[in-house]
Amino acid sequence: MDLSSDQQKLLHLVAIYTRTKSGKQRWMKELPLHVAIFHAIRRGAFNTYDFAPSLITSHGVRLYANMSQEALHDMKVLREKELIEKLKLSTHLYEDIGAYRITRAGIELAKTIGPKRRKEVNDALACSACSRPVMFRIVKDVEEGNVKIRAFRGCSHCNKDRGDNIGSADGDPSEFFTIHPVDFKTLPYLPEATR
Amino acid sequence: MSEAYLNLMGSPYIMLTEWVPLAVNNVAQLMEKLEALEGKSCIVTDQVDKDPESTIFEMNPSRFKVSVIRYKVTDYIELIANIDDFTAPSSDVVCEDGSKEMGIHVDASGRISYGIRLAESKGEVERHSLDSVSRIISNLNTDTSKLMDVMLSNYQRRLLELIYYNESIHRDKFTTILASGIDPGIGLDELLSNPAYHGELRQIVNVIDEGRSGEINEEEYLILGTNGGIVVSADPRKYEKVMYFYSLLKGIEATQNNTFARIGIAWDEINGLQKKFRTKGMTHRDREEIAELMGNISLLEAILTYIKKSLAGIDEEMPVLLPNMSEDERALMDMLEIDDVLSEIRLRIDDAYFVLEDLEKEVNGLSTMASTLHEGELRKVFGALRENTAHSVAIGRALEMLEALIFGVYFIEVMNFIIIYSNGEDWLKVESWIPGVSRGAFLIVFTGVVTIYLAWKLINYMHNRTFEKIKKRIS
Ligand SMILES: [Zn+2]
Repeated sequence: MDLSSDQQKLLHLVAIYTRTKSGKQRWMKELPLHVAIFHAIRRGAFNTYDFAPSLITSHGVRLYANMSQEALHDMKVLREKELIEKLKLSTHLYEDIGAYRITRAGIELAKTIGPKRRKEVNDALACSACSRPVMFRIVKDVEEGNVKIRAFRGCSHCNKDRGDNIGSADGDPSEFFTIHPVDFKTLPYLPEATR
Repeated sequence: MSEAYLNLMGSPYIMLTEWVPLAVNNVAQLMEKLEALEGKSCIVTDQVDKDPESTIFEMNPSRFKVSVIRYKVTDYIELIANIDDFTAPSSDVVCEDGSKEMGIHVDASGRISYGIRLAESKGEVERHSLDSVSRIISNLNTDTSKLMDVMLSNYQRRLLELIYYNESIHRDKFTTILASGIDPGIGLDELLSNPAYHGELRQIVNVIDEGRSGEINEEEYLILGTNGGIVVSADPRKYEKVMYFYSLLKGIEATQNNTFARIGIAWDEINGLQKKFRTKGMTHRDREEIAELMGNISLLEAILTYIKKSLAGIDEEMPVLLPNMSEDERALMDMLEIDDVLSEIRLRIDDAYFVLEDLEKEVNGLSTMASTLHEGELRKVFGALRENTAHSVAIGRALEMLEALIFGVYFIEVMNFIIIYSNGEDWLKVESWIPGVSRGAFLIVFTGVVTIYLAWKLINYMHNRTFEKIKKRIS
């Protein structure tokens, strides 16, 4: 099967989080997956991926997040090739969410991905203390009456890697919801069609 | 194996139908949920994510795979569901190419049908024992409820939970089987009269409706029961339309029955609360209960409105449906007495609205009480109220007696006038058969007593009638 280098890396990323041998199925929820992709892009794991503000919904709040359109497209490709599959479910707060998982065919294919590519993804997502893949939490806070959605990085194994300082230089996932201002000038424009 | 076994010949079609309160928005919602526009299949689960902040969702591998195959945004959506944990109960039933797929049609007026066709068995003889078919149906019943649970909105789920009393997973769906034959090939009369066969058919259709079961024509027949129907014909699908229509009415009827039962429960709850207030006063919990009752009543009203809307849709469809029917289809329509079923549903809906209105008044009364009174005060107020009521009753009684007396006196007065103006005074002065008492005195006393007695009876009669009326309304 012909997969681009980044598609292979994306498949490997999903494999890291959802591959299981038996028993319970593991599904990676849609938004944390995008946070992980964002995190990996910022750490240079993907060659062609970029991100841009997109409207999303999290914890019932509509807000902008730095989504990678290239990754979204590649997810569709992987889904079409039945290497990953999508689950729809509800949270106990009655929100409908999506989640992804690698399929059996995907696991087989992921085995053929070159070690260098795998390592690039592994390194980008590794815990700084124990080097196992970090997890991402998306949390809703209320600050002075304003709802804040934040993404946190944390290691569930050693509990040491905590990237919860907002906007830190090493590509903290909290930046996921931070849209950086762009420098621009404007001129007024009134459409004549309205007259 | 005993000889009682009945088999369906060939590859029968099985259709489960139900009616749930739905509207156009729900179809649109469902489309969005299933990503219909993307045209890919989705896996859905009824397991719930209890930690929405986390990265990973873990679940037991029970799941449904759903693909959207056709839709019209404001009208309907058609799906194919692959039910992974669907368990075929016997090895002689294998669905097409070993997979277990089901077609689902959901339309904006709340009609949902789930259809499967049992594929040909592996052996040479194409047959499916009724016994295994009945087990497939019971599995389908639960699986389809679970599946719909995942796909419906919370509001819709809430409505279903309300009328099925939190057991909506086990709600019944009407079963239609379209089969090309039943083996052994005995006549319909023997099928229905032999108790062993009768029992097997009951597993599918429940209580057999002997009046409506019968031959459509020489070669084809219908076995109808309270929960399902079996049409046997060399070309059974030609009856699909009629059976679908009928089963939808049965679906509406089932929802209706459960809604009425729920209304009955609400009455009991109100009576219970009223009784409790009178004896023990009101607690905080009671106030919550009143609020819940009010909420439930408005939900029940919503369900009735959904049903009404769906009936209006049927009224629009009938004129289109009927002229295009074949003679055979009409014959089946007549056997099923579809007109009667429809008009009965309509009548009962109108009735239910009245009952619900009364219910609403009662609850509003309770709620006004709840909002003005506090626990401790209430007991005092009720004590005072009881005394007050006793007072009013006593005073009312006294007034009524007075009324009867006045009526009697008035009557005598009138009689007196009549007699005087007709010069009957002389006659009155004559001694009556009671010595020393004049005829006039006797007449006045006698008519006075009789009229007072009659007036008193009349007042009591009116009293009882009003009382009976109120009692009937409440029960
Ligand atoms: Zn660690």
